This record gives sequence, C-alpha cells and structure tokens, in this order.
Amino acid sequence: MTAHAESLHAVEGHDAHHEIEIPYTVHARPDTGLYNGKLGIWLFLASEVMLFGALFSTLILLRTSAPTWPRGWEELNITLATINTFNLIASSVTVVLAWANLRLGNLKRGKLFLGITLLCGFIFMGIKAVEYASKFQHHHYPSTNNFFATYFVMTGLHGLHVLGGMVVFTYLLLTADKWYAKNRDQFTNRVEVTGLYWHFVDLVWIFLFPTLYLL
Amino acid sequence: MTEHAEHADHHHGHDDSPEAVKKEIRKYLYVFYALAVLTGVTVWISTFHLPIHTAVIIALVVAVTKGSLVAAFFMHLISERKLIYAVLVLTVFFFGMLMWGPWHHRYDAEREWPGYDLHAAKPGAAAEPAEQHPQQPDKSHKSH
Repeated sequence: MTAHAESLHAVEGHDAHHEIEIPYTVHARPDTGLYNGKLGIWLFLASEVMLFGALFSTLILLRTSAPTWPRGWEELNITLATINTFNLIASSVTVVLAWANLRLGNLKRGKLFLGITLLCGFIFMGIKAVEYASKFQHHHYPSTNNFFATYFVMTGLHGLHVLGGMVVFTYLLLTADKWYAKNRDQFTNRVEVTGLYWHFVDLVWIFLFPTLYLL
Repeated sequence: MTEHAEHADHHHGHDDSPEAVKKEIRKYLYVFYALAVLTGVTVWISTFHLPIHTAVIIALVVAVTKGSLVAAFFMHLISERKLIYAVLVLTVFFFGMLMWGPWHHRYDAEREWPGYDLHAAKPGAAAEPAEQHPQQPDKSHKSH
C-alpha cells in the first residue's frame, strides 16, 4: 500500500489498527531528492557541528590566552585514548557493514554488526569511566583549572553522544526483526541515518583526541 | 555526483546490487586501514614532543585527513545530493567563523595589552590583563 493510500485509509477511520504512515521514509521526496530522515539527520548534524564548534572555539580562546597550559600527555592517559580511538573507528566500520549487509538482504549479519557496534560503544564508555575515575582519584575535577574544565566538558558531551547512539542501537537491535519483516527499506534507512550520526560522533572524537591528548 | 550514483536505486539513493555493495564493503575496509594507520602516525608524532606550533599544524593536517575520509566514505558525502552540500556549505562557513573568532582575538590581546606575554610559560607570569589595564577594556566583549 502506498504511503498516500495508507494515510487516507487511517484518516478515514476504516481501520483503527492502521497507523498513519509517515511519508518519504523510504522513497525520496521529488523536490529534495532525499528521504526525509536523511535530510533531517543532516540538518541535526549541522546543528551539532555548531554545538561542538562553540566548545572548540572556547578551547582555542582559553588556550591561546592562557600563560600556561599543560601538554596533553602531562595530564592525560594517551594509551587509553588511543585504544578508544581505534575502538571508535572500528565501530564506524561495523555500522556501515551492518547497513551494507541489510541492503544485501542479510538481516542476521546486519544484526551481528549492529551488536558489535553497540559493544564498541560499551567499551568506549568503560574506558572513559576508567579515565574519569583516575582523574577524580588524583583530585582533578572540572573546577581544578581551565584545562580540566575543557577536558571534562568536551569529553563529557561527546560521551553523552556515544550514550545516545547506544540507546538507538539497542532500540534498532530489539526491533530489527519486526521492522525488517514489515518494511525492509525503512529499517535499512533507519540504520543508515543512525550510522550517519555515529560517524559524526567518531568525527568529533577524531578532532578531540589530538586536541586534548596529543597537543 | 557520479553517473553511477545518479542511476542508483531511487529508494534510498544507493545502488543495492550485490556487486556494488560488496565493492563498497571493500572500500570501507580500505578506509578503516587508512584511519588506523593515520591514528598510529599522529600518536607516534606526538611522542617527539614537538614545539606547540609545529605539533598543532601536523595534528590538524592528520585530523582533517582522517575526518575527510570518514565524511567522504563512511558518510558517503562523495556522492550525495546537492541539498546536503548546500546545508554543509553554510555549516562550514559558520564553523569557520567560530574558529576565526578566538584566533583573531588572540592577536588583539597581544596588541592591546603590551605587557601581556602569551609565550611566557612561567607560572608567575600569569598576569590578568583586564585588571592590569582597566582603562583598556577588551573592545570585543562587554564585560569580563
């Protein structure tokens, strides 16, 4: 049933069990050339660029104006952060592999890669927790100085984004069978859009890692 | 946009033929290897503890290269619709403004407060410029 016919059907109230179908979740809108979810996520990511941009901007202002500023390796654990960088890059690959397998019609492998991505998220947050615990043990808090203030705010906000992605991956995994059977293309698009968000989270880390740890 | 992408499946703008998807998977793996190598390179360079200016330039070049790989291939911006490019051109412009702002301000600080030495990496040299020169408030800010 087409989106249009389905929504009419539901609006007319002939069948209360039918939900109103959101248009253009699968097919591209003729004027944008994109399905709505994809344009939506890109607009959201554009706003996210500005959110993190403001924090990077603040960091440049604070650091260039500060008479003293520690080099990352003096205060932070580069080994843990490097492991997390590899981990996040790997998770970016697994999420595109999940999407590619769903497009090939292989739900089982698609779910496997989604699961690995989620696992990478857990590993990332676990390592982050170890890092934070060690900072607190050494009495380094956001209030300690501008270096730790920027470190905690930027990695904290990034961590929240990782957590958000993990929630969505959990939802996708739990509903995968149902959605894939109901509307394969729509589910595949959901994975693509979530993947775009996840790559952005990876992208932010690619800049956070050298900025905070290596410089 | 490539000719290939234009003839792509209209459902979600990608060619879903098994050959095309398998080719993409190979491409994703190559990008992964490149990202892993570049991560190793940037960590390795950081062990030399280079002067901050050199270190920033090198780290930025590597990070921009890695970021471009992620955006171009994982986020498939290399073959995306024009509308998304339009959104991103605006984003890049305003992001550039955000980066330019504090960088520009840095030179203002040096010019406006002659006693303010940015490169004095001595703990005792941490002078508060606004307090030292109350008659020369920072023109770009209403208050401190």
